[in-house]
Amino acid sequence: MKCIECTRTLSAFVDERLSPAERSAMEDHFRSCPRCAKELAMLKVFLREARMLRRVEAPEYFMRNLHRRLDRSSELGTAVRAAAEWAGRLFSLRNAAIVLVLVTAVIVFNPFNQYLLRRLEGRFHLPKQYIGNVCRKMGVLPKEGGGTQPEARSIIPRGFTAATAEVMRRPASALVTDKRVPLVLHPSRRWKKAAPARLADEIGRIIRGNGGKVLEQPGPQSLLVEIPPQQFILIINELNELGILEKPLPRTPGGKKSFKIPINVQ
Amino acid sequence: MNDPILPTDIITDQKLADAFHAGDKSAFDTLVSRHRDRVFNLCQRLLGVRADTNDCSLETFVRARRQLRGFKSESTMLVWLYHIAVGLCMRRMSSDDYRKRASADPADAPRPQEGEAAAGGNPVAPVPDDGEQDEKENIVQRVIGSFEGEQKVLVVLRDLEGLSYEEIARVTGISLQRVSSQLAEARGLILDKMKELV
Repeated sequence: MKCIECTRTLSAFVDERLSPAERSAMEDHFRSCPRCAKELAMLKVFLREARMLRRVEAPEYFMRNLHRRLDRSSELGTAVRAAAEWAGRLFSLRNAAIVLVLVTAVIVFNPFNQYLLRRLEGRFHLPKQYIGNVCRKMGVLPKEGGGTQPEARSIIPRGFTAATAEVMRRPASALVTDKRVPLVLHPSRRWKKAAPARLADEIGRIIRGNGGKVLEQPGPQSLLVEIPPQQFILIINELNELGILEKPLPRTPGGKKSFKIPINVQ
Repeated sequence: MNDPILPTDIITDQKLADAFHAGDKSAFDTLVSRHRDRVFNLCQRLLGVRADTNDCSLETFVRARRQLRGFKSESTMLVWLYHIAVGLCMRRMSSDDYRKRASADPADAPRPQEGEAAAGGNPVAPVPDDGEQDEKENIVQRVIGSFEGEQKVLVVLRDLEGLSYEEIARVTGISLQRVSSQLAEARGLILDKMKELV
């Protein structure tokens, strides 16, 4: 047996978890190797002293403290149980079903929700030709050129996200800001990686060059800007050319139909 | 005629647990009296900070009382209590607050006299009268104090509490193979530390 094997099995040896043959091989090795024999002796000393280490006893007040803690926990348990029983009586399965039906009906048929949905439709994943429609629906463009496109209605659930919910909390009047559309632009990964320092400057230059202005920079990866609605497509196209936007706008009308630009109405 | 009442040390833990379920609240107190010192000692060895030891050992019995129905007679009550205590201590050891307390009050720091510890002073065991014995204990404490986490639990359970590998596996919920390999690694570290200290 080599010393390295002996070191590896020393622990099993002292714990008597080796087969008789392995044990005998170890013992032979200890007889011939003073270094390993010394290690064994040292480990045995440690184990003997560790087993003899005086025990720490629980203090006298342990039982008193335990009873105090048990009383506290049982008081809490009683309160929780009482609440659960009360809730159980109030919300039997039948009652719960009725409440569920009522809540669903309120959500689905609430005229206020319907109004908000109409206000917000088409805010996300819009086909290119509906951008103008979005602006019209938000009241930032004059209502000319027809009403709501049926396709815009059909895509509402996809865009109904937390961001939309945030807008829902705002009064309808806040959706219109001096006939300008504030945007939060989400830049592409390539730009974030390659030119993070130039990013804001580059976007700012394009926005200002088209009659808009940069309102603030909420985070390193987003920029709140305000642009005239009529310049909307122009600016997006220019940003596309630089590859700044996360998802570029399709260049040909017959190409990819949708793109995502989160619009954050302030 | 009623059976004579058995002395408490003859009544098994399982019988006490059954009696507790049958409504005998004092049966739980008997169980606590029987095992509190071992549980307290284990928590102290693992945590080394008096306040945390108190808290974890008390919480062990609070949980034990709540889960006493889950106790099965195939494992001993002590192993079951150790299982709860080790879980609590492991969680405590991983908290930042505990680390701060432990670094301010390390387990291998000089220990107060017995009276001080009982009065709620910080660690640990009474200081022995014998100087040589004191030094040996001090070395053992320092070696054990140098371990952390799972390895510390394994060393304490095996080398201080004397549990078998199977019992350790039951207490910690880790496999026998891992118990064996981790202990082997820990023993290597113990030897290194001993060489430094002795």
